[in-house]
Amino acid sequence: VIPAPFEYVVAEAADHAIELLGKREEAKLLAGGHSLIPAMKLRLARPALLVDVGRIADLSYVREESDFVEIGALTRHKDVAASSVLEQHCPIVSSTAGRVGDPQVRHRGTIGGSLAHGDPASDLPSVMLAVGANLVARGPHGERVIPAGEFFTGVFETALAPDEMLVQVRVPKLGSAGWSYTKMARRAQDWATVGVAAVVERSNGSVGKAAIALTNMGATSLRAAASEDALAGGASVEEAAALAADGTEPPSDHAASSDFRRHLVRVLTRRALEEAARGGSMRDG
Amino acid sequence: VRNGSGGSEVGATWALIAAAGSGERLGIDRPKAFAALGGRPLLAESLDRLDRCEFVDAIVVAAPPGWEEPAILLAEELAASKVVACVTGGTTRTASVAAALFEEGAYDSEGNLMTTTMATYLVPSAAEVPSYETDRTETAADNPLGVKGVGETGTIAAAPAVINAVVDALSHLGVTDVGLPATPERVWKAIEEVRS
Repeated sequence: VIPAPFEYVVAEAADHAIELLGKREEAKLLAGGHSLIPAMKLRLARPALLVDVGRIADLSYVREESDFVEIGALTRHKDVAASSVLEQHCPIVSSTAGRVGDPQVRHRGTIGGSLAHGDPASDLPSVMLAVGANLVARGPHGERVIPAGEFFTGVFETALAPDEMLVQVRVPKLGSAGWSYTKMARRAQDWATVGVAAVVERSNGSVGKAAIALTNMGATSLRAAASEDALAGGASVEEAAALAADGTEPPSDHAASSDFRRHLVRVLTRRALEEAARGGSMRDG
Repeated sequence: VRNGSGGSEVGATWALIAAAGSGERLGIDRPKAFAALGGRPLLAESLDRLDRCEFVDAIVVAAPPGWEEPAILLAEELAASKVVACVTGGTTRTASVAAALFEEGAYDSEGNLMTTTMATYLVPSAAEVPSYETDRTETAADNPLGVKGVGETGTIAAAPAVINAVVDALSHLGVTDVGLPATPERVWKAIEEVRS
């Protein structure tokens, strides 16, 4: 309940934060604090130095570009959820941000903080995989772009180097693609027991190609490759959804056993694909 | 609301007075929040202090069914201007529903308690509590002394009511029982067991 001792510094700008990260081992960035602080209280995380980036105002924005939308890493979930640009061009991102945690979490937590935390039970990593987002990391030697598919490397682990900061999220405009993020949680504010993000190409109301990503079905959010391949090969939604648990190693914990998660992911994948085929929206499992 | 300096958001502080307990064990003719202490109801004490407390911006009173009006009248009498609402409470029934659907002291195979935080020991929020109606039954006490328990009756009655509703919903599949609490996984397993 009480965190281990740590030092605390407020960063004035992103470059200042990166400089501070480079100076100390075991330094962590603090944004909204709704993942890191609980982890510190449970002593799952024991950073020696907290670099508070929460006051860097110029990293909170949603900007429309030609074929993608740029989201500043420190944009809070409630601002992502309320963005009319995202609602028009990539509504799976704004809808899902509006369903992260509870109102308190959404008013403090940031999109960059959530992604950099690398929690396989978080909703937004799956959405990033399904839309094919690019994540912009800045370090002492400049910026690099990391595809979402290469960003999540393990439980609470990402491709970010210790002295890099996630500064921007780029999500492609979805055009006419159908979409769904379907999750089941024990209570409204809980982490998803299982979640499924789907972005599909539709032809006459049926599903052609689809990108499907799964929440809380392994060490990271991951693509449902077997289901995707089946759909590309002409399988029906039912046939493809029945393969959703293939190749996954879901955890067993207080919320569900791995067997129940394998059952849930097949049901939720079918519902997500049906929802996406109809157009797109968000639902609870 | 926004504070004046940095533009960061701070919340208003609301106080909820949980005054819906029935207080059957007190053996008086009214709910315990309205029991007299020093010449005025217990509830008056809480209202008075919270209304004068500079950290509290607004007060909501949860009153027992049928006692909402007296609670509001009391607030008016005390000129407790921060009272913004009086809602109907039902704490013991809600807690009992929670026991039927959510709360569980789960142990691993070595006897370690697994549900040690509020993230794992689930307490339902407003979104999860099902709607319910209350009714009463009259059943003779069929034991040598002819006695019955009278305290916390809501707690005793609601859990079996919820579990019976779940079993009823699954009875066409052949399910005759579901363990407590009836988590999604237990419901799934109950269905799988009668199928296999």
